[in-house]
Amino acid sequence: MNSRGHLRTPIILWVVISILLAALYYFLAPVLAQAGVIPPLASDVADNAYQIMAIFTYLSIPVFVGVVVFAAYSLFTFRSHGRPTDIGPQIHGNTRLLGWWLAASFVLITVLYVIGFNGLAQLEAAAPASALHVRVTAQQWIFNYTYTDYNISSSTLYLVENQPVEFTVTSMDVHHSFWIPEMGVKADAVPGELNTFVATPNKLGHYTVRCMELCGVLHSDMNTNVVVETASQFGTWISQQMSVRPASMFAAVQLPEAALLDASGKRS
Amino acid sequence: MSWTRKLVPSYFSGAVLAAIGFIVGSQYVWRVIGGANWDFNDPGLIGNFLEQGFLAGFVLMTFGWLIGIGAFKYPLSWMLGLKDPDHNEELRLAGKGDGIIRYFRFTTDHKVVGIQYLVVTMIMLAFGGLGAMLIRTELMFPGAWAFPKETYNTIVTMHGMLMILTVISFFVGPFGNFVIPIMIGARDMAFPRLNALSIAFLIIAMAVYAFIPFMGIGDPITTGAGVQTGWTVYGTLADQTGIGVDALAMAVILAGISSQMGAVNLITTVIAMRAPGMSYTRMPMTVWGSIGASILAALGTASLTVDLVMIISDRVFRTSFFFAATAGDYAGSGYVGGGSAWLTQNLFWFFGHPEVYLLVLPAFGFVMDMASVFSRKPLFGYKTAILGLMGVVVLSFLVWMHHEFVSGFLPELRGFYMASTELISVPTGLIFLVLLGTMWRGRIWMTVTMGFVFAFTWSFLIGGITGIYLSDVPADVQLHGGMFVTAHFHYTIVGGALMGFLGAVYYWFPKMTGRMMDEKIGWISFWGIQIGFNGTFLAMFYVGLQGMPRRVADYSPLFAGGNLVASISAFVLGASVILYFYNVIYSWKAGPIAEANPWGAKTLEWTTPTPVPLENFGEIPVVTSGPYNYAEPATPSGVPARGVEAGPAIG
Repeated sequence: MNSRGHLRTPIILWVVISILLAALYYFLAPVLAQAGVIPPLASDVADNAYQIMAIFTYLSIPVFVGVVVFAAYSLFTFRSHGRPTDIGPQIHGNTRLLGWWLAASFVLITVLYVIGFNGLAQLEAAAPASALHVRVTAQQWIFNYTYTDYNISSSTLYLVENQPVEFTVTSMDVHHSFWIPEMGVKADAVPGELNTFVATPNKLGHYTVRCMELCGVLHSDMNTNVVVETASQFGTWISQQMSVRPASMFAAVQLPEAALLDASGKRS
Repeated sequence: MSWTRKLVPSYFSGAVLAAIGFIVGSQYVWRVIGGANWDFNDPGLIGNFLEQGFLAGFVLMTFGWLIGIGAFKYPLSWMLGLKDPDHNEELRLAGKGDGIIRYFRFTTDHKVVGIQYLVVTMIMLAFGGLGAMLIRTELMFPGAWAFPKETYNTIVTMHGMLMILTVISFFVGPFGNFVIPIMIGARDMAFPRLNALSIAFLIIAMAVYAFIPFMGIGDPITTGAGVQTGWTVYGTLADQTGIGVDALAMAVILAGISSQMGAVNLITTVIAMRAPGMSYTRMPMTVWGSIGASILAALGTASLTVDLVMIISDRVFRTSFFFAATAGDYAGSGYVGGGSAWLTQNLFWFFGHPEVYLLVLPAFGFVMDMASVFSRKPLFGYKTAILGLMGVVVLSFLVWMHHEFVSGFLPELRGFYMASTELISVPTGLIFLVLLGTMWRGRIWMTVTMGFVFAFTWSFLIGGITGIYLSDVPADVQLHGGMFVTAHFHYTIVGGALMGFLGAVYYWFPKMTGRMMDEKIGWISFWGIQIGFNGTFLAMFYVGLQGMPRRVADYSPLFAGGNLVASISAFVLGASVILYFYNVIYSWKAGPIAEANPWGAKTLEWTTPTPVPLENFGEIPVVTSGPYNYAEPATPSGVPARGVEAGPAIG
């Protein structure tokens, strides 16, 4: 068989398997998500991230299947049993194929850029005026949350459904990383630096905060709870906290704010 | 007495002087300097003197070792103006007339150094693998059931760093030294003494590394012995962890010096020592891949060395490179503040990202060569392959900040680093084009090596595609720092570099030892490794998607299923690697004698007799065509005629 004759079977296999896998993913992904393969999504940021991952999965399927099919076809069709006695066709390359390969690569990269920069713009959008401001202070091995709008602090994070939150993350000692898996919120807690992250929780429930940066002996225990509640529940909680504030065991963490921020609010 | 002449200088006398050096250095600080000031009521001082003593010990230990193995003999004789060694003395230094003892000496013959590297890196691989098994034991079930958490963190750190050092060394060390000079038609490396020195530095680095788990036992300040930082040794945590971090830093600095010496040597060798007719476009891809890795090693390693020196400095001299706070927090500790915690991340990853390409670039080259040999076809696009390799080299220095997408450091630059990271998939894609094109319509001979080539293609494909997810900022924010990342880079480093290495050992074993590796055991271990490896890390992708962080001793029961699968598969992987090692040792002793060119390759190393004589070639060959010219007839002995005799250029 000549080269063209050999190309037919793997190309058909490539197309068919890619379509099958894409269809499988299309129908299976929601089921798997329900079954707990990914955390239950609870914010706009997480929705955005997993949407992008889904698009990437569709884009990856033909790439993955293409390489595997052609490699496997070579393995099964061109296999020599024992030491080969003759040689293969001495082809030193194919400029036209190289051109198409590069063109396809750049098209794929461009698609990635469009998706990526679009997602990045959403991620970096400034916090709206209505945002709740939470100062997250990590230290070995707890997170402390200060609601700067109300000047109260807490060891459990309470958030309001559908109200944007601006987290400002910092650390008292070593590197930590503040992560809420269900909300796609992640920001390193770097001592001496402020790191902001904006997200809008969009589902009521109890979630987890995990530390994502190895921070010492009890790193694996550095988990706390997040509660997303309705605005009225949150209001009740805030007023309770404000009434007991002087006795609160978690005093607001005083950071040398002036040293870190200049008048424009950026790090000096 | 003949035995003293054999043993002095050798690695044995080196070990003795190293031990003496360590004792002198540490005791001098502890007893002479520290003796008067040793205030047991001041925990800060105790820690400080302890680690200063260890550091002085490590430095003198290194010097003792180098003196003991005779590394200073020739530099000293040159400094004293004695005559240059003549050719006979050079040959004696290269181990002429020595038996097995030349493998335990400062020997300049590149083939001896290559074998030394092979043995040392395989021992390192074994210990790193042991660490992996311990990690998977702890993670088999939720709850820190096997080890205390501080021990677990130390194991994680030691596994990570040791494996990185292993993979840095295990291509350009054994094969770069043994194979590449012969491949390009040279008599030896450009700097044979530097070559012997580089393995000596790696050995002493590993000796220092072995101190880590024992340092800090009973330390009153920190909990437990060892290092709690993970292999990233971020300066902030590195300062407050146990004194084991000093051993880690010293060991990695020494290993970095070793790899830089090796890299400079290899680059010079390839530039200056090629045989007549061996133009840059006739070098096998193995050489190109190793050159790419050496460029990265020569340029990138410095950044990590600087980082580690700063960490030692912060700990011992109370500088504040990584401490931002200016008042209050460190009152009484002696720290001044004013540094930056981001600095440690940047310094580390400016090394760290070129470094991961340094790990796989040789694998790219090796695998392309093996694919060509076992398909009996020239490379599908020689210049395409070079473009791919060198494209990766250039781009790899422009992507490091993707490790800091969530660090808050200059978030406005994230777009650029996302773009450059995704761009790197273009040159990497070219490698796949070359691999697939080379196998296409070939005469594929399924040796174990070729099996590893297919395994490389499969694993690196998965590693590369998952890398795309991680390069995208919004997706990365979710996946960053989790088990998904761990699985991703194991797919590239184990699935890419280690598969390439295991294939390469199998491929060049007949050249290095004169014997064939056992094929049956080879295939059993191959399938065990594939099943174990894919099971482990596919399960790790799964728990990563579920939201499991990295480097945790304990985890939520939510992740129990995936971790159990990963652990059991990891044990299969471990057992199979042990079987592979057994195959190496067994075949080295009792394998069937190899013929001159068992694979029918066309590269120069197969034209030399086995064992390869000192200085490799009776007469330097004149190369007349490229390394993949399978159309050229072979001589009756099975040794290809290519390159051994002068003639008109064909290719």
